[in-house]
Amino acid sequence: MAERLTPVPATDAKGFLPGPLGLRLDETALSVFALQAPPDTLDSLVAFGQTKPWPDAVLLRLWPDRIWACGTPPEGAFRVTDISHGHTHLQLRGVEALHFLDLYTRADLFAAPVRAAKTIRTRLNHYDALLWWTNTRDVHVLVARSLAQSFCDHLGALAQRHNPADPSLTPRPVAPDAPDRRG
Amino acid sequence: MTRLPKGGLINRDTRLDFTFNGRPMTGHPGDTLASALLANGQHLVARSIKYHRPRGILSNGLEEPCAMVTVTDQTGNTPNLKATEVMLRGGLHVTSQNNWPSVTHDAGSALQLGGRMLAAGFYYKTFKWPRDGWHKRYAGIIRRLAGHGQIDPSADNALYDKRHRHCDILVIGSGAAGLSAAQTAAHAGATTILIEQDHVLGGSLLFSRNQIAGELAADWANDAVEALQDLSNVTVMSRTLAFGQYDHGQILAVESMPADSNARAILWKIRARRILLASGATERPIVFPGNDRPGIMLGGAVRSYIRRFSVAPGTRAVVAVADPDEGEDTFAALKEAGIDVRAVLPPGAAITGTSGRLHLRSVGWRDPGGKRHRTACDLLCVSAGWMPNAHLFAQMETGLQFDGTTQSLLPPDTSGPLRPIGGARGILNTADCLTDGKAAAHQALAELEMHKHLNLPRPAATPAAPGFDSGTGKAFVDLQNDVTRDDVALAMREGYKDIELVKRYTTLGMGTDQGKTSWTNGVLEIATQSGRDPAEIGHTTYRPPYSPVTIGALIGTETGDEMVPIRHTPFHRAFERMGCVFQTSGDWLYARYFPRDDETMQDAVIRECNAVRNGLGCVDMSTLGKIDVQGPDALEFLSRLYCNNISTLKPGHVRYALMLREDGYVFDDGTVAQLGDDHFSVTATTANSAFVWRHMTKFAQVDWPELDVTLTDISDHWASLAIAGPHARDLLLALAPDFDCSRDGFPFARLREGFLGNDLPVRVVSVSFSGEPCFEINTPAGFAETLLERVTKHGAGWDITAYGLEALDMLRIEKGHLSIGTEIDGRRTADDLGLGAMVSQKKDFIGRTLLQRPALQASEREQLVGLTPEDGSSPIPHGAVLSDHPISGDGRACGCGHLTAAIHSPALGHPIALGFLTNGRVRTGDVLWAQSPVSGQSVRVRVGPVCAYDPKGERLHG
Amino acid sequence: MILLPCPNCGPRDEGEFTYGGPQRQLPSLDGQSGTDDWLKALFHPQNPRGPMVELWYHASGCEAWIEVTRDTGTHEIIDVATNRLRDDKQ
Repeated sequence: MAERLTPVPATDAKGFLPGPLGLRLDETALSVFALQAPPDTLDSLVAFGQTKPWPDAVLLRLWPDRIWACGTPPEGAFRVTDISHGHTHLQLRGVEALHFLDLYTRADLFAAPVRAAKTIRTRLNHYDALLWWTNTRDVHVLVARSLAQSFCDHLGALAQRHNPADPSLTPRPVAPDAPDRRG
Repeated sequence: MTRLPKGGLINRDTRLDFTFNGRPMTGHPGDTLASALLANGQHLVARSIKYHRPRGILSNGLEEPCAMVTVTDQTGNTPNLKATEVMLRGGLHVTSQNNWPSVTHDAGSALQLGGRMLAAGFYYKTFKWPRDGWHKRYAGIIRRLAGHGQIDPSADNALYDKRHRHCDILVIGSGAAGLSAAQTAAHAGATTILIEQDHVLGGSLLFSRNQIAGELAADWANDAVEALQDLSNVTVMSRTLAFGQYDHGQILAVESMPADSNARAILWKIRARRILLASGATERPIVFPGNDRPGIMLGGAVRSYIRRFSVAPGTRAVVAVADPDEGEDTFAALKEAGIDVRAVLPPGAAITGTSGRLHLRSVGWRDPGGKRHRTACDLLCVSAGWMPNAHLFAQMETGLQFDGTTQSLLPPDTSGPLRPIGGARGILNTADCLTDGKAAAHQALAELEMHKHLNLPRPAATPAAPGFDSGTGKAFVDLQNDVTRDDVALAMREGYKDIELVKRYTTLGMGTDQGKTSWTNGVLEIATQSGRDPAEIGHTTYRPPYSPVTIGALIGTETGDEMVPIRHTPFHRAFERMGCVFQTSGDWLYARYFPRDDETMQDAVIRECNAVRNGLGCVDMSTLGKIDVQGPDALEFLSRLYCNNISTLKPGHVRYALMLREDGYVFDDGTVAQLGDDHFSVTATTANSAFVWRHMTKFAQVDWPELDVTLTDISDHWASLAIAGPHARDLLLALAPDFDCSRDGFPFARLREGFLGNDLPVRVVSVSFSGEPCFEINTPAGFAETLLERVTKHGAGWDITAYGLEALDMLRIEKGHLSIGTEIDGRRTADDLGLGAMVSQKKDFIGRTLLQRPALQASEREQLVGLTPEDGSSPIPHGAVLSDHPISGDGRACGCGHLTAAIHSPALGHPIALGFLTNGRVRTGDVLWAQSPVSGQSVRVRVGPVCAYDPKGERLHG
Repeated sequence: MILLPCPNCGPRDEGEFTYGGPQRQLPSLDGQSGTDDWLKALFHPQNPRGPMVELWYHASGCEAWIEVTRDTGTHEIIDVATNRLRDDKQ
């Protein structure tokens, strides 16, 4: 079997973004496979709009006719295409990571359905981005590889426009009577 | 100083120093520039745009028409700010505008003598002789004499940003109605955003004497705001101006950031399910002769300056306020400030005139009985009533309606997402505003199914009190644009009777204040003068922004390096290390050329071309679009989209393919490769990559959903490096592929999958854009640098040369290969391009039917030809037009074609060109003119074959 | 920016979509269609002031092509469908 070569990262994202927010942006390699099948077949695996953990993978069903398997794809009646190198996997971490991204995505990341699903594909300023998270402080992002460096530079430019104690990033909790995270 | 000894929402412990026209002054945090100027006894602030009349401060808000100043701080100067909207901070230098040499002594005030000559529309009727006089002389003078401040031409280095917010209920305005609505929405659990354009929330409650729930209105407002800020489902935004309503519940707002922030202003794009517009109402000035002097102030503004800013705006006052309660409140406020009230005009009185050159000195008036008075004063408090600020409503709806009871333009009922409440729909009573806010919020909550319907009654709009009459004389209707009552009369006399024409002819309401204090008076004037009902007059179109918005906020980060996203190829960093010079092309940053030592671009490009023709070169082809097509109907799907026959492809075979648009013209070119029985991989040009993807997905999903085909965009997954030149195959062998790459084993137009050196996964395709033997080596993008290292190492023996876009283009022009945008420009058929034989006669495909249209089949079409200079050496000008005759003396020629490419060919050693020529293919050997209207060059050129270099393709196939 | 109710993703901002022109019914590729059939399908769509069916591609979301019935005068979105949903309804 051929030795595995180590892929070169697409970006220089490694460490804290410039600016006062204390957000880290790191790139890590991730295998991504497109699994395509009729919607009914895919529904039995993951419902539309949802993410599902799988042994060795995270399954993302953000298309009617497609699942992206990040990691080792499951077996099944799918057409499988390796798209690992076409997308760059970034992680944005920090107390207000998801809140920061929410300011720039056209979709509301805190809308009830999205909060429940913890995944979405939307547009962040000029970049299409696929996001998923288990908690709001650690967000996974997939962007097209050719745009990845530009995307990282852009997040850095955005971060610099915030103030250290930025009230616009105040987290909004789940329910009106939930404990207030401020103070 | 006219600062009152105590009270006000100002921080007296801190002093802020500033200057006005060089004069040092002080104020406090909480002051606006206007209140600080008044506190320092400065009443004369500006000169009007046309007549240069002395002007002061009329109001305390965004509606201010007169007090426009230039503010300079450490970042530069900003003209045309209203003194009422600038929050005072230390270190400001403020200057008045449109005056010379000073605001007190202004030479321009001589224009007042021009009077009737300078009436509305004067510039349409005068300054017509001599004919060129307007441009040569008059325009410049007029521009210097009229207008507002000077622009600061230095770069704006401030940072701006644009952000999104979503919520259930957005409340715009934090007066009584707004706070009540926000409380109601918040307590029901709706995500609520409360926006206020001022720095302090509370609206007119901040200077009201009313009591709410047992406390002073301003204190109640403060408590209400604090309580809202504690709620986790509420976001309170101050210093944020909502300036426009857009579709489906979208509001745009600009947040002005405090001076020590990293950004100067933020544009907020807010999407709300319901919007309650609690923007209050603007006070209407009275139109009377001499109604524009410094010291004439709106009643509410007077109360605000006294109670909120703790400033006495005068020493001897006259009150002319239509509403009796407000008149009483104004009287009380003046007394609180220790101001001597000399007269209170009763309803039915008329104001006949004022005096005072730089500051009000007296008011002439007539009481209802007819007796004339002249009262000495330096402050005249005026109010004819209130005008609802329903602009954001009117921006999206069909319009406001004039209501006789309230004497104002009112918003009609609506079921749209934005609802005016409180003062914005004519309710002026605090208790009624509180009720209206709550009722409207409940209505919205019920519609959102967040609360049951309560059907709370909505209070009615407050009827207007009778106003004051006025005498004849120069009475201003629009203070900012110096539009008088006579101007309106003039416009109507000249036939400009419609309100849209009155506006444009007189410029009424067209200033930076957008007529906030003048529009309703304008409607009433037109009604009075034409004897019509004001309800018939209508109003002009309300457009965003409600108040001026700094362009920086509209740009956000999109400037400089952040203006557009940039795409990088997987070889970018490696090329950077090689000293590559890049260029942007569309989204991408491309390798342009690879200079060695100090060579010029021209030398580098020639060296690169020679290397490819004679030895070995490598070029980045990664930007091409690549789409994976799988499924039992994959072949059928592709056959329908490409015009040439691909059914005879086999696994491992590649074919050049042409995609037509539905209308028969060539859309894109690329390759189709078959990987397996039901598996294909196609390429598209870089420029059309996204369009081809959309084209394909549209047909797959919309037009042919019965086809079982799966499309995957793999454009970025594969890095692509083409090795080209006579030694290409030698290099491929040296890279140790695990498949046969002998001439027989790997001929032209094939695809092989495997590994190089046992570990580097590749798909190698034998196609050529340059016309030399060539292999495009595709590897997953993360391995691009490994591929490049090995190619460089193993190719060193043949002096492998990296080449870029410039050389790539030269090589393809020498071969007559097509490029998007130049030859494939969307107006060419396959036959025009010399590819007519590719169009299949045996199948139906997209574009086939409309390609049969006579005009697309005509013989007189422009066809692709090659051209060389007749004398063998003269350069052929870029973009030249082809014609049979030289350009005549008056610059005319009859063109019969144009060039798409023109270079000095390194391989052939002389200039060559490609172009389209009417009937070109039967004109081989003809000599024409190639003329550039831009550079003025003219060259005689001979028509020849499209492929100038190695026309038989022996380099590739021989 | 209007809000388009994607049948898969729910209401999303217009900026996530690419406009795809009026809905069209292309003739079959069976070699039988004439020029007029194609011209009519491509270049003579209805252009009403009122409800109109048009195509949008949810490029930044589920990448589905959706058919939106929109009132061109008011931007009210009256109906939305994907081909798949249409097939399911039949």
